[in-house]
Amino acid sequence: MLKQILHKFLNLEGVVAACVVGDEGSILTTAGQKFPDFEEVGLRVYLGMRASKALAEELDRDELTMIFLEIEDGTLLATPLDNDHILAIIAKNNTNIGRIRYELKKNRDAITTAL
Amino acid sequence: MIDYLPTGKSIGAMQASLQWILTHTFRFIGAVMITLGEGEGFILIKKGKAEAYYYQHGSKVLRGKAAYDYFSTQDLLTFRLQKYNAEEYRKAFAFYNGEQGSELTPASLDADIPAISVKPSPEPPRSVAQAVEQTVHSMEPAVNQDHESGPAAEEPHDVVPDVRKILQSAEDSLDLSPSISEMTGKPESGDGTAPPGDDVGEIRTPEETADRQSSGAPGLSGQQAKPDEGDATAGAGEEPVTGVRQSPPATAPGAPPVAVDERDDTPETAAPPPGPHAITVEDSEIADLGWILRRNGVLAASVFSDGFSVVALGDADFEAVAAIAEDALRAAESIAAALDMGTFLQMTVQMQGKNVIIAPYRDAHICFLTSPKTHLGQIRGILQELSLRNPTQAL
Repeated sequence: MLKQILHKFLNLEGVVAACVVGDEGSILTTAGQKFPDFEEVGLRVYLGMRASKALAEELDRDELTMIFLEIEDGTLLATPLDNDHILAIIAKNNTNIGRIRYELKKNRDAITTAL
Repeated sequence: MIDYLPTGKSIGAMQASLQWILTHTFRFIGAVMITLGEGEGFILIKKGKAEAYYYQHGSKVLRGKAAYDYFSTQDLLTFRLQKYNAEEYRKAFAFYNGEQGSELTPASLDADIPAISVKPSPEPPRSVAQAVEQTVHSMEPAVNQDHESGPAAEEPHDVVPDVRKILQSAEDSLDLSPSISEMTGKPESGDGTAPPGDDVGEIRTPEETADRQSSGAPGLSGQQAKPDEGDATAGAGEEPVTGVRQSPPATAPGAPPVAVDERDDTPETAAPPPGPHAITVEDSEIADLGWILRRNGVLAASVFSDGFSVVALGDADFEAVAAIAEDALRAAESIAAALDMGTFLQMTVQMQGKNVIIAPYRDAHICFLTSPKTHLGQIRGILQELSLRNPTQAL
């Protein structure tokens, strides 16, 4: 079920992979391109999310909604699903970010339920 | 009046609170030119010390504490930083004092302002500290008299802090070790950014004035022959406080003068060492931050390096944010490395109430906050334009 939802993201133009990162950065499930060092990506996304949550906490105890990472040849979006899980989408450059964000919001509850 | 101030060198325009301005100008010498509503004003700052506050709206003019209070009520001030050299600052400060005390013209400020000659007193002080303390005692009644008799008395005016402020300036210029509070037993006004009691130009001792007049010393007193009818505290021939600040009087006959000669051409090395967060950045970085801050939706911006904020503008505490942003940045860079998709360009952390953007900037990183309504396209645009302003940077 979870994998099916993740595959929906792969239908979006430019999206190359989607994954759910669990507690302490472990990769729970992935869809799409297999990165050689996916475990490392999961761990770093987890650490990035933790730092971003601390940033939000520092800034008026705000609530983190999403991280958008722009790299030379790609883009990574990550959003917290609950306290322990993160959904990360990896896409090529010049992807329609707004569309991915829309799908993220639309499918967030379904993913959380499927966990 | 503002039109007559020296132009100096413009190093950027930005927005920040008065408190921020006063705590982030350790090494700045010049004028903070403020635009507020339909009026405008300025603060003269010399290495972290705000020495004059002025605001004008139409025919209404606020000076000293009144202007400070008004600026303080504003969450954000829109201002330009005009950097002065020693001569420009001296002229600006002299003009500020002259404007409130007499009808000085800008041309008259071209003449040098000599220090007040030292007035002997019956008992020689044993130390500089004692001399300054004597000065406090000798000045307070005179100041109180001024305060009660002049029109300026209508304004809130705590004269003792004024005296202390003058002496504190003198003490700073000599780097005297005992503080005013140690010498007088009175509490100090605080962090150096305390509000001015009022314009320091109104404080002078009658003895000094008489001595100054009788000696025929040249300078402002000789030039400002016409008293300002609108300000009874500044009589004809009286010496503006610039003289007082330059040389607090020693009171010992034959004793070496307690020379507090605060020359504006004091070499840079004589300045106190900057604090850990003193601004030692290039003017262009401040200009870049000012430029970012003027973009629609941007709330605050900072350049940070190794978890420390190097310079920041706007309404945010970047001291704490910079350390956490450094952690987020390292994670982002390692994600980029793990994905093998090229170098890290920027990171946007979206929250309910704001966005935080982190990106490489020159040999450090930049972090700025935007309102939540600022969308990713705008943020990318800001970063692209910033990279055009800095062609060598890796944005």
